[in-house]
Amino acid sequence: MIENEHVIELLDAYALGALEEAETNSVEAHVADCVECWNEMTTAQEAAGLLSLSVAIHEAPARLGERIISTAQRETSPVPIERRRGFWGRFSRPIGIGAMGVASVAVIAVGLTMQQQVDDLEAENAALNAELRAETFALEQELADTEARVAEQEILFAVSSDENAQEFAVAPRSGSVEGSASYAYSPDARQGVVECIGLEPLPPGMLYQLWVESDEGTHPMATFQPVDGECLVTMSLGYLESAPTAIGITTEMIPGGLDEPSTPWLLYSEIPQD
Amino acid sequence: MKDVSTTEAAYRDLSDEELMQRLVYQDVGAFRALYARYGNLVYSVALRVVRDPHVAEDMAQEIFFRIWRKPDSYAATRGKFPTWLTSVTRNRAVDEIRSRNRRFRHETASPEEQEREFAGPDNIDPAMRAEVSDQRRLIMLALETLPMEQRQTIELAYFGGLTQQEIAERLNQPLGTVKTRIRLGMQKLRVALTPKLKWESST
Repeated sequence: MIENEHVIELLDAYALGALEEAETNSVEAHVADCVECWNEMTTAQEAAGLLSLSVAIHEAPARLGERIISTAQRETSPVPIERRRGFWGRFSRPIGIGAMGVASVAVIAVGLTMQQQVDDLEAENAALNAELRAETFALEQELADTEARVAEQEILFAVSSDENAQEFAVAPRSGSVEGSASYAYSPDARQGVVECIGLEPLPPGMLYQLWVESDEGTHPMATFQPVDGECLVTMSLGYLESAPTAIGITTEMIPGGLDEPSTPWLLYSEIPQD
Repeated sequence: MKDVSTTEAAYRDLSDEELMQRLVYQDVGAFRALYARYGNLVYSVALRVVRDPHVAEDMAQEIFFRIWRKPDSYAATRGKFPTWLTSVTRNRAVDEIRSRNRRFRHETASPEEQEREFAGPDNIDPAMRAEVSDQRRLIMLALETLPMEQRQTIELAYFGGLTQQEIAERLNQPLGTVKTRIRLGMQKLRVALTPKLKWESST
């Protein structure tokens, strides 16, 4: 065991994190059993900790705050966390204090202590649940993103490797529409890919929506925002009872898209039937 | 217990400890108020250590996510919230530069650079709470009383994440000299900051 005097000489450097690993271990082993040195170490750490407040203040990028707050909002449970009824709330009938003796008052004191413990446990439980929900949400998002990317790659492979795949243009409905699209469809896999180029960027709040028509009606397939005017949308059409007869694109204003087109076709083509 | 009726102004009146308690219930308003209060400070501490705005941004984001997801990691018994928060930030940032095998260079700052690093009272963010501004002023005044070489050595240890041996090599000084500078400098700081330390430990 090293001497107190020697340890105290090291404490300022320890508080600054400036000791070598072996010295750090020695100090920590010593202060664990030495009240005097532990108190000295605490004071040294408090002084060192205050140094952080001395830095020149720089303005953090605005995007940092936006990102942090929006992530917190996303992780917030949509259902408010309700605290369960407390200990006394479990009794359906009120208890008359006047009817109680000293022993009953003691019971109340114990009960209040228990109530506090129950409240503390509930608060701790709520915090753990919140953390668990946040982590679960993040993992689920990550898993869903990965699955979507894998499914997209599978469709692209199925369509591009099918020798019988059909490909044709999806034409603008009028001369004023910018952009064009092509549609490739694998009859064997019953999967298709729409690729577009030259689409105009849309005002905030608007998006493009892709539709497929069949004898059953018009089916919403996907919404998308083009990147540099381009898009690549994959579709699984196995659930349609009849073969697709046409494909089209509209612009919509509802996040997530609509069940039926609300605007005229921007691009539209009938699918040649064999 | 999310109180959606609480206005932004009402959050501003809450203490740091009260805001932290609200984070247990995922109160985004409280979190926003904490960020508004300390976002620049946390970013600045991280920037002071890592000296890279992008890495500092990542550090600040990580620190705020940590207090959002684990608000009970702070307890009032650990001292005042700003001191705890900035210490956590500094420690995390130092871990980062150490884990990068000291790829960040912490060259000896010139006296002019040190003046900029240890900002004078005129450089205090006016938006920062008066309480924290007072603490900063006291600490900066205490630092100004130190001889330049003591201040520089303490700075290299605390913000540069260097050991005494590494500082000796960096400054081309004997190890004993570095140890003495740290001890004398910290002793003076502790004396100068005694009122502040008593206030911290009384909370």
